[in-house]
Amino acid sequence: MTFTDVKGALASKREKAQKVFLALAALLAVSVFVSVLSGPAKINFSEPLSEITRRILYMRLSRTALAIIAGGGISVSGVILQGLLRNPLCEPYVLGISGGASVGAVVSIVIGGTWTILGLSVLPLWAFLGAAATFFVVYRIAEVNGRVPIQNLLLTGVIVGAVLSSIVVFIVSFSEKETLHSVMWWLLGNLQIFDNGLLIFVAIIVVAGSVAAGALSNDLNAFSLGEEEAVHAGVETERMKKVFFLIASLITGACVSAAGMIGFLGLIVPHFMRMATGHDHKVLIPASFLAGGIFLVLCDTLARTVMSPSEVPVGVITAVCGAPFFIHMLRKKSRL
Amino acid sequence: MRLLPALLSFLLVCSPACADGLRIISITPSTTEIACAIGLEDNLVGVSTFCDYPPEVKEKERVGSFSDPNIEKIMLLRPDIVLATGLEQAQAVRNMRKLGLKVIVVDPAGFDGLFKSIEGIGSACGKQKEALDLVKEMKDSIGSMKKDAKSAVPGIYFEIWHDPLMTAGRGSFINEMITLAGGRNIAWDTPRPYSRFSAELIIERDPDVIILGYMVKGDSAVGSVRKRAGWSGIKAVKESRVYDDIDPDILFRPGPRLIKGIEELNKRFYGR
Repeated sequence: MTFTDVKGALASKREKAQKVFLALAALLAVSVFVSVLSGPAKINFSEPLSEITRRILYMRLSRTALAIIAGGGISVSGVILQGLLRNPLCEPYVLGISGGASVGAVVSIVIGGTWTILGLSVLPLWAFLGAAATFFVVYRIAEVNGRVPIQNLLLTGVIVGAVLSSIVVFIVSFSEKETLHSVMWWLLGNLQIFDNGLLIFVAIIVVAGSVAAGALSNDLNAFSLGEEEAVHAGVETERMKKVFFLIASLITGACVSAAGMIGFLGLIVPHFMRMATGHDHKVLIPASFLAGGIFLVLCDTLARTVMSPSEVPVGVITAVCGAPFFIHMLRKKSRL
Repeated sequence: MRLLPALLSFLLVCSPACADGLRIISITPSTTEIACAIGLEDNLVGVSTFCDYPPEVKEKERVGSFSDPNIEKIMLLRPDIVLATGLEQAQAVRNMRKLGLKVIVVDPAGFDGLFKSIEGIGSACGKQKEALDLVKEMKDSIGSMKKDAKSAVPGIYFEIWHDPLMTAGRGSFINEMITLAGGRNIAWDTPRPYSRFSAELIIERDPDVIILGYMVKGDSAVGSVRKRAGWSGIKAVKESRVYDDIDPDILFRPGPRLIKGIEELNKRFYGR
């Protein structure tokens, strides 16, 4: 391959990435538009907007914003973990992080209270702390002689996650009926957000984490070739493992704390984007953020309209819509 | 071996006795309240750990929690009748019936059902007259409440839980109680008794009164409703008519005290 060939290949790759980003940006704009315009309350745009209409639109906007941030964040977290652990089944919830968040949430519901710290209400805060604490526990257990073998990390995460789920079951089984229901409802996921402070908090963590992951995408590329290859490529693997795992945990913890557990997204969006854009994390991370945002915005639009005036848990919609689409793509790809 | 029969008869003699009367065990708080309201308090030989009204029942023998009654303990208390509810207790009810116990299942879906249940318990336990009197008294209080409602019917949003927003729709006691208390449930078109509800519809339907059916420890739940982004313009919030001060037990326990619940709702709908 001559120099010009390489240059040409890179240029066509860049062109392809640009096309994907343009398409995703356009799709995001359309889905935000659709989401804000649909809902159980009827809005008449032919007249000047009334006070009530403005407030309804405001709520839809904040909800759509959370959908973009949570959808994007969970997808980026999935990309990081799949790349780092080189396991296609990885998703943000597999490593016990969500289990930590649920224990935090359950503890907060059992203790009760609606007080706030730094403008954050107590339940999301507990959930976030639970997720962050789980990261340290998993990392500590997986550590052997100052190194953390990938295999250990994965296994430890799964086992800690299982223990945490049984702790949730234990606490719930000894609490009153009302607690049980509120925990169940919370875990099913909900994107209606009333707390602007929480929205900003989650947005900062998710955006900062995604930008950091994007900036470190060369290291992630090296990891996805294998840990040994990453060492040869000059990556400080032990340190970078910790950094990536921490980023993924913080993003997941923030998303779960605001939106509950929304399954499936973190698994399929990264795979889908890999099919569309290839394996370069420099492209994959921002593309997955956008795609995750689009997917969750559209799913949430369905969640609040299909059974109006009731709402369907958005996690149900992500699974029901995501699975067939994903299977279709997988089969199409294997046939090619 | 002779020790065993001796021990057993000792246990039987010593178990809380109501010598000549009927022995009743009630494993749900609502049936315990009904039983006590029709004069069966002395016949109760066992209750669930959740039963706390009237306060005297706290002294009774506990036979396990609401969702997990201890069948061995129930058998040991030799009840003539066990009072239970449906759904969560269906499995326990099946097991007790297999063991030959007489179980009355009370699971009313509305006030008509509740009245029938009270009368059913009354006739099964020899308190027909008391049961009929209680039902009449309840119906009378409901009737007198309607007369209070003179002004326009206020729109009510009843929040069962805040994250996610859960409300009571058609087919729930709460929905019926709101109507009986002279209000109009803004979630009337929700087809299920308990369901998630769209936040924007609450703003669109602009309730006059918001009732929070849960209590949170620490700070007041009312404050957190006021702080919700986009909610400051709702009539109930503007006029400070968000209430979290009704005991959830008199709103959710399908027993005689629901009447008190309706009265409390009525007071909040039409000012004290």
